[in-house]
Amino acid sequence: MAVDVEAFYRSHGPMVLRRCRRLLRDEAKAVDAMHDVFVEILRRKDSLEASSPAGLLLTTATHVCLNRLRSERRKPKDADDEMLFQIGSLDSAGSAEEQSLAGRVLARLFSGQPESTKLIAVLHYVDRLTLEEVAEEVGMSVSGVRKRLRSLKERLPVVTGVA
Amino acid sequence: MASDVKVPDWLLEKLAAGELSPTRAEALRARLHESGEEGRLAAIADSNAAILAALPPVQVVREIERRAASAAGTRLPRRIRLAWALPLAAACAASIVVVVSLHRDSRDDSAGADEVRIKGNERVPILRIYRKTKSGPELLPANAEASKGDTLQIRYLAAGKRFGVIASVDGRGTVTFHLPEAPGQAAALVRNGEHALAHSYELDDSPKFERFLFVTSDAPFPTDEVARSLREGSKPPLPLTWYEFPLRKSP
Repeated sequence: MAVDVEAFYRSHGPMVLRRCRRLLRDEAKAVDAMHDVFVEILRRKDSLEASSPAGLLLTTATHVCLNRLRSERRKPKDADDEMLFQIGSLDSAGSAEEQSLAGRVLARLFSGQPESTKLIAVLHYVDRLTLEEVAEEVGMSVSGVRKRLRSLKERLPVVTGVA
Repeated sequence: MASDVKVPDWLLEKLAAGELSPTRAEALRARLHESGEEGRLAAIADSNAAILAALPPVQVVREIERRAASAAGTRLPRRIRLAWALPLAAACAASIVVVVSLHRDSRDDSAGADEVRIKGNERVPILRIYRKTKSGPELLPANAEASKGDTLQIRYLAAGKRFGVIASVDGRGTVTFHLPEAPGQAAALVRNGEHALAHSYELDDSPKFERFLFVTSDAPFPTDEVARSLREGSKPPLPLTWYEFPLRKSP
């Protein structure tokens, strides 16, 4: 898909920045991450579909920010922040490519494969979407979403008795 | 009865971007209404204007393209990229004060004196476009889907600017002037508060899009500049300031 970056930024840039602000809690880092989200879009423009750019950008921003949080050393500011740190730290022993900008997760995302468990966890535990809403967002069944979240429970100390 | 559960930002953003199915969008609007959160959609529109003013597209796109070119070769050290981002972040965080003050007049649900401010007292001229529905005016987000026959009411916030032109171009390249309603010189603006144009605008069957442009200045200027920008997809020349509001047309 041909991407007019300027038009894309005008129509969706502010939304991406708000998403990065929400996850990173730091203006400079959010602005920096927002740029990288659009770089990812440019890099993968051949795989893009025009049907849901906002959804794709929000998802890409989430993965980019989780990747940033994985390397952060600051103290979490609250329970949501701590949850994001833990989700971001999952599977951190990946290859160099995985640890670059969203790496393999984004490659999978752009190729239309199922959403990552990390995104599902962020949507449910941090964004407070219901299981039904998460299922709708990621195109899975509610039971599939629940199963994914259950598999995370042992690996996310913050999660207790949710989902 | 107000709900205790706040509508998640994720869903609100998708609603504002016009990317929810009609059924989901309607349900979410009802939920916003029920929980008294309707102002959040207008706040997103204001936030969009403030962010685009603080982080201008030309500047951001230049940096995105630079990074994309770097990514194709060797990525720059992260600390260099962060150092670049800091001044922009400062512009965005420290100097932007978004002041949204809603003053609804109970006698007229179209009233609303909102303001978006950046850099202290510098205010941002913006457009707000409402679609007429049976239940009242619906504030449309940028890139919302609209259809032939939709009746739109265009309102502007001049943010102190003295002269302005509001015009749109459709998918056939036809330019329509909304303010003034005929080519000539820019109209004198109502400089404070939200001001509705005298006439509504009904969308015709032109395909793909309708792109609105609100161009403002403190000095008079010819409408030709705006028509040219719309036809060519170019930016109005400085020192004119502009605000763009695209709508997608349903097939």
